[in-house]
Amino acid sequence: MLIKIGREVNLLAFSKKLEKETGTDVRKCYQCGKCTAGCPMNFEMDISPSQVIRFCQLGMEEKVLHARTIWYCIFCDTCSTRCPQGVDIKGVMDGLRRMSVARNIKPKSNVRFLEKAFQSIIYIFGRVYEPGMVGMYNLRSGNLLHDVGYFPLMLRKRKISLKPHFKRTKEVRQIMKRAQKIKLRKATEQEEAK
Amino acid sequence: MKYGYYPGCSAKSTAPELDATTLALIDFLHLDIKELKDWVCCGASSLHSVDKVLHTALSVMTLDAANADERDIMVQCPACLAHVLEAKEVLSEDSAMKSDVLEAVGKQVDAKMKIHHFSSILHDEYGLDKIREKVKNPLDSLKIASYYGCLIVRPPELMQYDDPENPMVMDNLLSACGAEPVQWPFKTKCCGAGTAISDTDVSLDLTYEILRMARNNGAECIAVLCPLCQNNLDLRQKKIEQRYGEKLNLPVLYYTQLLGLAFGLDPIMLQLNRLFVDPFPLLKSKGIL
Repeated sequence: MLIKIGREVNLLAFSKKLEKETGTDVRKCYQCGKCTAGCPMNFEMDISPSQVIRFCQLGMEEKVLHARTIWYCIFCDTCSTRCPQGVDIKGVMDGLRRMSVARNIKPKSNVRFLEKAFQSIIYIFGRVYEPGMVGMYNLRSGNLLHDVGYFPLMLRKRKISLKPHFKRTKEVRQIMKRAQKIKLRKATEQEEAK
Repeated sequence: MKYGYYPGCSAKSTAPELDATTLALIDFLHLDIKELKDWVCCGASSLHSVDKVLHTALSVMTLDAANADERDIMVQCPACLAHVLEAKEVLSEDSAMKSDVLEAVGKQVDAKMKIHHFSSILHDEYGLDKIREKVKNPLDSLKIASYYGCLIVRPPELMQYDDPENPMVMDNLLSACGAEPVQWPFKTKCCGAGTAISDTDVSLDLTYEILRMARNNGAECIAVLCPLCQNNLDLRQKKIEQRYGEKLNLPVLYYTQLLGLAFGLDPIMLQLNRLFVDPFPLLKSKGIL
């Protein structure tokens, strides 16, 4: 594959930014490809995990933040565990995902809707409530009947209940609000630094 | 040994049999383990991509709950285990992350407690010899593929569980009960539960490979410890059979259910009827029930 590196690319800046976000130095990677070989999701990806790391080394931020790959990593951590150079590839994927969300780049998978639904459910109940979470996910993704077929079966086996549990909801909500404040504060600090 | 049990959300909803059999084993083996009074959700596999500080802060609340009960923590769900261990690590040294997390939690929290998975407690602290003594109803000649999934072994520096490529904890526990553990290569291959809702077909592909590999290596059933793996392998097995036109019929049991069977506990208490792939014909044909 021929890759063109534009003149605007700053090789070091992106690696450093990533290191700050994820605590891992992508420049240590020597492209052995072990992460890609063991990745259970590589058949769903547009660029392989080792290519993501290579593009990061080359400072090609746009390429990786728009990649399908970062949305199809399932964080199984096989890559980071096997990496001979100690690069936390999973951590990089997670960090790239957060960076792409922060820039409002459209996610390449519905998993983002699930993350949102999950967050709302924790805010409301303090614990996971599956029927609510799937319902909320279906509303967001527009696929209203998704997985609904399992409901009667799971109800019969009493594997889900219609009644949610509430637990320490007040404290959980306070924590979520404070975490949100911290996130906003950091974003403005970053803006000012620029 | 004095632990507070952190069941996690799944054990209280989609995995009630894991919760029930854990409590049954605690009772049967007379372990000093009690459920933590004030545990909360760990943020699961979703929140860390949304907000890392929030994700850690939630687990810190559970650490705080263990401090309040003056107990170490025993965890059953691998995701919860990973997240409380991560939170403990964040609190262990001063960093910007630590101060952000404590600011979100709104109070100072110490993290000096030990944190272990229930299977490690049985394997290392209670001991295989004592387990062997308790077996009344050996799982003779039952060929079991132990499936660990990804979260319990990885990252190994954090989890400190067992060999990340070939863990043996569950295999040893089950062979102490007389079963025949199957050696197979997919013990820690990811089942894709994280995509089961948002990209169902992807997770069906991954799960099919695992089930087929277990069967091809001679397994008659699968032992699991993760509630998400269990759901993915068991609930969706019928759909997998339809999709690939292949009969698999592999019951997927929690290791706690299998230990309970070997200890001669009541099958009703072990809630075998809650599994989607019926384990009764297999267990009856082996003379275990």
